[in-house]
Amino acid sequence: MPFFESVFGHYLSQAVAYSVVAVAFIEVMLAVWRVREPLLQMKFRLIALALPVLCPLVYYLLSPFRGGLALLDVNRWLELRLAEGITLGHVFGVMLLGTAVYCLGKEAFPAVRYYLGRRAVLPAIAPGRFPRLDAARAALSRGQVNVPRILLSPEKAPLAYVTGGALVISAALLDLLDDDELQAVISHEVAHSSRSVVRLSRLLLALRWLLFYNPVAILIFHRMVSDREKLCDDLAIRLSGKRLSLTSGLLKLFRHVHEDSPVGGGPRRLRWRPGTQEDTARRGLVRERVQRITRADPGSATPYPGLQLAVAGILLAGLLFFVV
Amino acid sequence: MVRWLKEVPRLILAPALVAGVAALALYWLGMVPDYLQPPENGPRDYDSIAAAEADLGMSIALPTYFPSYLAYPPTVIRGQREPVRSVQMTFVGEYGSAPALTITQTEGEAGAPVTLPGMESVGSRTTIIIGEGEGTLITGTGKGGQPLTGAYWRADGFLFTVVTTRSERELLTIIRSM
Repeated sequence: MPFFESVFGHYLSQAVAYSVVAVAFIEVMLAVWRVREPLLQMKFRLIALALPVLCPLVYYLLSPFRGGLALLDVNRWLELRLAEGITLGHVFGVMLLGTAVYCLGKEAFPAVRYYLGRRAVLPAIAPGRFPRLDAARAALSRGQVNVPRILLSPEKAPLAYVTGGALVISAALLDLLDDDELQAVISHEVAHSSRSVVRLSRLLLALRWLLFYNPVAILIFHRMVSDREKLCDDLAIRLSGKRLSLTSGLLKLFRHVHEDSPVGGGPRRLRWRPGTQEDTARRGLVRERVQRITRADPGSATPYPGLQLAVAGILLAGLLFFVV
Repeated sequence: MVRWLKEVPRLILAPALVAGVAALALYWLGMVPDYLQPPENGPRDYDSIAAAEADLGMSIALPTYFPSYLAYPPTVIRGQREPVRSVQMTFVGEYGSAPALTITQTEGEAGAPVTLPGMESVGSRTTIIIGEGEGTLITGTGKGGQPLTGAYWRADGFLFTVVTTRSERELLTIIRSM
């Protein structure tokens, strides 16, 4: 397909091929090294997202004609004929286009609509309005946790999220959760606004947009969102000390979203809001998080994480040089 | 320090092994398209010299002196149409699998530097007469230091190279019969 012989088309095909190699390599290394810490897992998976963006450009500038060195020539695969007039390149092109349309429809347009549309200014919750919320906030403050300002959402569903440096909750959340669960869930959301999580989230989002056409990047991205939730769970437990309450709060929220629909079936669909890069109430993810929290087994810390990241990154970059 | 040394196999050797396996897997994956659908313009392998001649549209020169220690037909006939028409034939010894004679015929008159297939280091070069023109006789070594003798010359719009593991005299007899 001539498009993939152009510089831009070649970049796209390389980026996807690099993603496949990168994700396989990184996941194997995570298993071999038995990396359990969510933060470190995220850093490894960031390598799998970042290298496919950078390497095609860098290697093209360094050595545009390295076909003679290639272990794998992607163009030879794209030239394979599947039927009369149809090559694997055509199928690949359709796949990229489908992925791009999916990304634009599911994430880009709702985000643009949210930011360009009229948004109600959410009122800040004054002290004394919800005594249980004040109690949860006071308990966290005693533990040196900096709780941001809290805004009240008009949504009827119980929700809590962080946006623009503020914590947004709904009144239904206060009705649903008990005091300890409320404290644990607020801790989880406060963890989302910690500096390391915010930095990683921004980097993740940037790479997500740069790889909007890449179906493999979607898989890595979803995996990293799961990692981020687990990281915030760990931070929440450290901040609040309420492991089991976090579990029960999580389960209550999940059950409410998936079972208590007003028309008697199916999950509620909440409006898009910032930070909702995916539905973090997926059944599989919730089960994984609950099992992880209740197991209370952090595993041993990975020794020399910086060295592991460097070794993995360098070897992977070297391997990718021979994919043309 | 001791703890760090204990971690070296896990930290360095394990990922190096994984990278090695990945490289091997990529190499095999890279061979699959050519196996499923050999490229139209080569390089590709042919079953016979006649098939190569028909596909490449050129007449392939063969020696009329063909010693008994060489197996015929060639075990490998590899040709391509682009960027230039070219064919390489590899003949093994009658009782072995190691290449004993390699003949290459490449279209073109250009005087680009000539490399003889399999010859890794060159010893001596001598100008020789082949037919009505001149050629170059080269002695050198191949993989593992194996002594090789080779020659190249241009005729009828082609560049010919011949490399053999046999003696100089044998090589000259072969090429003068082409």
